[in-house]
Amino acid sequence: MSGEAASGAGEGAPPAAPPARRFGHPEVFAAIAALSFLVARFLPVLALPYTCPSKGLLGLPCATCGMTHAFVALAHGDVLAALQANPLGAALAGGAWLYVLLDLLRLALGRPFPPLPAGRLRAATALGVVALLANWAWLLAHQAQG
Amino acid sequence: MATQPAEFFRRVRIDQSGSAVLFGVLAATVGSVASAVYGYLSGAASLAAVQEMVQQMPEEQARFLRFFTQGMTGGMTLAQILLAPLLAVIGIYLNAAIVHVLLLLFRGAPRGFDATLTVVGYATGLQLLLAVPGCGGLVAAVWYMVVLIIGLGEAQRCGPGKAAAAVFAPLALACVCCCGALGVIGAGSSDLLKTLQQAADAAKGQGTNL
Repeated sequence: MSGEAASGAGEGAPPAAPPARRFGHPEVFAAIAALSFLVARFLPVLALPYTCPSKGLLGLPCATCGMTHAFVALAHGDVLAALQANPLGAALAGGAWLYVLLDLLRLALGRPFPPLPAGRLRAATALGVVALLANWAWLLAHQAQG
Repeated sequence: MATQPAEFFRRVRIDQSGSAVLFGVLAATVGSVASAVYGYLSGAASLAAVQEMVQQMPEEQARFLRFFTQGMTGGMTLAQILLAPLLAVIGIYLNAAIVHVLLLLFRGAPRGFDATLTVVGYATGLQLLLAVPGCGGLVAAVWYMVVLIIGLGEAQRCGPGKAAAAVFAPLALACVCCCGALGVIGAGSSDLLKTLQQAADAAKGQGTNL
């Protein structure tokens, strides 16, 4: 999905290796992911008096409840706590921060962003939707148990 | 763009998404700053009434409302103003990413991510309406959706059907989840309504308009 990949992520055009840009869309996403790590690691985000509307009004967690806790726990190296807070959040945080490292490595090596075939992105999206629903079911079951 | 989105997005250049993002960031920043200042100025009057109401509610629900009352303080307003441009950039990119992968799922993204980002960037310009007190946020949200659907249909050449499916899919998913949740809690919701009713009655007794 991104910048250079964007050209390849279209469905009609065949994936091609576009010229490398200094700061394209992949780097913007990497910067956002890096920022999420810095915020989770160094800012007291859990001290914010925020309650999820679904949890606050209905008493039930939404599909993304616990993601902040998962990001913060993983940023502090507590993998188990991150998985307990929100398994998908832990996976998302880990994936995002791994992407930052890979993108930095790619830039250091001067390689272009690899083309992303639309079919694979489509499959990944479908998998993501299923994972989100499964994660929500897990959160509901977790609350019912606890 | 706002009044004739079909014509605009049919001819828009998708290789200059940076201009679209910049446009969206500037407009959203101006809208957010105006909204924050207006919220701060008008919030003080309703703050006391909301805090009265919060005291009548159960802890979980009270914390939820308390979060919004704390948003009316000077510190939060300042933070909202300072972070507005950064949050606008992040919002535009994440929103474009989500919409784009959903377009891919519906086979509606033949022109790539840049086309989606261009549409989301320009459509975010409607956040300028946040500067209108009262109904600005609601009008901006609805207008944004309309422009986004028409714009994606034209810029991606996928038609409004697939564009609407991609834009509404997250909302539909949220609705399904909420309906499921409401079905699960069943009788519990009557307690919530009763609590809200009691709180509203108490507020009415205090002479507020909440």
